[in-house]
Amino acid sequence: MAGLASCKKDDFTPLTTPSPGLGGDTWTYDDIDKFIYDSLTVPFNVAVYYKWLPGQLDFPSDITPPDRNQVVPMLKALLNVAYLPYTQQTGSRDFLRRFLPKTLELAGSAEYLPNGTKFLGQAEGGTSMLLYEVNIYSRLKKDSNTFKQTMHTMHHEFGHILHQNVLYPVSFKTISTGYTGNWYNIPPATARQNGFITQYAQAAPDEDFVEMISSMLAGGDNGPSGGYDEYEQLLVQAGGPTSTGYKTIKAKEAVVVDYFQRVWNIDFYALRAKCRTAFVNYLQ
Amino acid sequence: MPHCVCKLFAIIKTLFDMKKLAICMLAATSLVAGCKKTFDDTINGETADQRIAAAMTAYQSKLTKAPFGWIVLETTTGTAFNQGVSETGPVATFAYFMEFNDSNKVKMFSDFDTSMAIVPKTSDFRVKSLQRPALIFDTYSYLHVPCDPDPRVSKSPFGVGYGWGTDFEFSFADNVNPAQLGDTIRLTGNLNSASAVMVKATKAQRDAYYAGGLKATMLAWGNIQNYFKRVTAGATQFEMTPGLGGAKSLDINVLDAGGNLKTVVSNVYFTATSVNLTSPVTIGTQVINRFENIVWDPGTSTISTSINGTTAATITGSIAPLKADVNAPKAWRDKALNNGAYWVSDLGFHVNGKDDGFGVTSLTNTAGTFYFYMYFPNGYSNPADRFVPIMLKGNALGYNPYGTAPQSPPIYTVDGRVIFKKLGDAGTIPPGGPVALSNALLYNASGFYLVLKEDNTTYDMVSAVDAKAWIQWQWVF
Repeated sequence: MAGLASCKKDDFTPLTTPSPGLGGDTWTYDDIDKFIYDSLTVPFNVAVYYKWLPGQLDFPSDITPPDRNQVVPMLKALLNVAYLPYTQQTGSRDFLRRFLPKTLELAGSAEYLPNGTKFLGQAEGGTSMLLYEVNIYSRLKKDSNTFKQTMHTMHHEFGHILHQNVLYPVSFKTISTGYTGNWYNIPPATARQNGFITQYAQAAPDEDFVEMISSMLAGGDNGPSGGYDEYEQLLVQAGGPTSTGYKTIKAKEAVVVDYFQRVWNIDFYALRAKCRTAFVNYLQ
Repeated sequence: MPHCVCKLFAIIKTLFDMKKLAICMLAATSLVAGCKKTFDDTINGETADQRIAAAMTAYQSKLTKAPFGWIVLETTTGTAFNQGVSETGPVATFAYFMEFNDSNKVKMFSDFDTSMAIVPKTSDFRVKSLQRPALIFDTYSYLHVPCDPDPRVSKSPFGVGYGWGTDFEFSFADNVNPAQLGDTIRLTGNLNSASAVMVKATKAQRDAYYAGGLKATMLAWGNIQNYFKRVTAGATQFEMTPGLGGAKSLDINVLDAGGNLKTVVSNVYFTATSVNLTSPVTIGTQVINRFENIVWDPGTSTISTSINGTTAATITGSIAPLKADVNAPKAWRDKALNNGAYWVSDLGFHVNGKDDGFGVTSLTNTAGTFYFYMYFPNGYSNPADRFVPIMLKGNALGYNPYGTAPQSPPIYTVDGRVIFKKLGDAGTIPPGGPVALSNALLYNASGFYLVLKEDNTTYDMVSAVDAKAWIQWQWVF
């Protein structure tokens, strides 16, 4: 029977043209792409997405891609002020190469939520990090509040990556009670009096933990100066050394420092010193 | 498919019924014939991937091969989306000049403001195969500014998190093979469904952009700072006043045969050679699409132009409306008075071409930061009215520590003006500051006209001294 003979499945059209977009979109490779490859992809195994990719960011939302003139300056700031201290403190790039999320996404604007708050950063499952507001990044002294916020965000998201790999001691979660979804209606100074280093730290124990990390390394907002202040100044708002707020935050500090030493073999205070030096040296 | 045919043969073998066998063998024969036929998902021998790849190349080629670039108009629907929620507001049109190259770079001018009109900005683009073939402006450009979710950037009245409802990720909307695209390409935005039309530019148009024509046109158009602009073209006369949709919206007023004021709302957009109306306006027998060859004469403070390029016309500033609404001042004040409420202004006085001409939005003191300016009829119990900034501190609103108390009621003139007289001031007013300047203007001896806008709710209060200052009052209740 002729039909049986032809039942072999060899009548398909061979693929000679790849599916469009297979392996990622392509464009004319330029100096930005070269910088990303040389400074992030090769040394740290990090891919940087700066061009708008439909569906990559929260969808459907009004978010813009970054200005191409901000991309390399922002990446250089991350490398020199946020990443370098970790490399210096651990003695090699291995730590970052292992734990930096393999995907770094950049957004030009923030992402605004209906409740009036906005996202400054996101970290997902240890695999990707998203930094918003790249378009307002600046290394000028007069814009140092904005720069500090970006560094704070980066340390905040990296903190999530670390605890998503190895969780912090569960005892941390019970140092404070009173975590709330209404965090944005409690003023920062009140939050500190209640033992939370920033407003956002009140949202959940995970956020509290990484807000401790990022506030110690890069400062926190709405400090006594009205802008970004270093950790020691934020503690002043919590109250004197015998107040509940102060003692609560110091207890959390101890857990963070112990976690970095025990789990990652990093002297947190030495890391902090390096972060502060790198920041001051980078301002123009 | 061959699999099924084999199964069918197995069933036939067990039947052993001649009739059924005959039918099955008939079916089998045709199926055998079908099995031989190649499974073909090609069109004209090309697979879907080949056809899509060819289409992407063709779309890009159409964009980059336009010899003098493109004039691009983007118009919103009046709705802006964020987080799956929408806000509505005024419809807006933005006009760009763009040139695309084969290295994924696009260079553009924009009529958003004069700095974007004169300095070309380079950014990136690519075409991508999504559900529909897409044109993506994938790094920040002038095109992104109107949909920036930060209202300080977009100047959008829709609220924080929303721009004007424009897009930067578009689907090609002509639904033809890209090889058939000609001098016009239509786009539909993927987030906000904004519509864009790209028309190939001529050499003269391109040259005009690079020679600074767009900024010159915008500046010339803005040189008349009066609220009331009078256009005269032969026997035709009409008035243009600022519309509710921002700097590029117009209310066009004309007197009908009975002497009544009729208003048509239109948006404008600017090119390097013209000021265009987004919808043509008919006045008498004159259909107006655009004003070309805008030339400002500083000696006479007049713009000369040609309507549609054919009819000579002049535009001058007027200190009085074409037809004053004599009842409007009292109706404005009474509305708040009768409701125990007040009027709200977000920006204070527009003065000499500038919104917030006195800088009230930067007012900061012990009471907080500026939130809005208030006019509160009988806000004082004496009675007196209350003209004062409302300040925001923490999450609470409160009165500014100083303000002024106009007499209650003000003076209404027969020709449709309201004149405010000072009863007294409250608090210590810093001399020369935003509040002092606002008060001085409020108490000017000529008073104000009140113009009810097309939403039948918002009023513009226009200084009768020179009509170069006004304040917009919104009803928030």
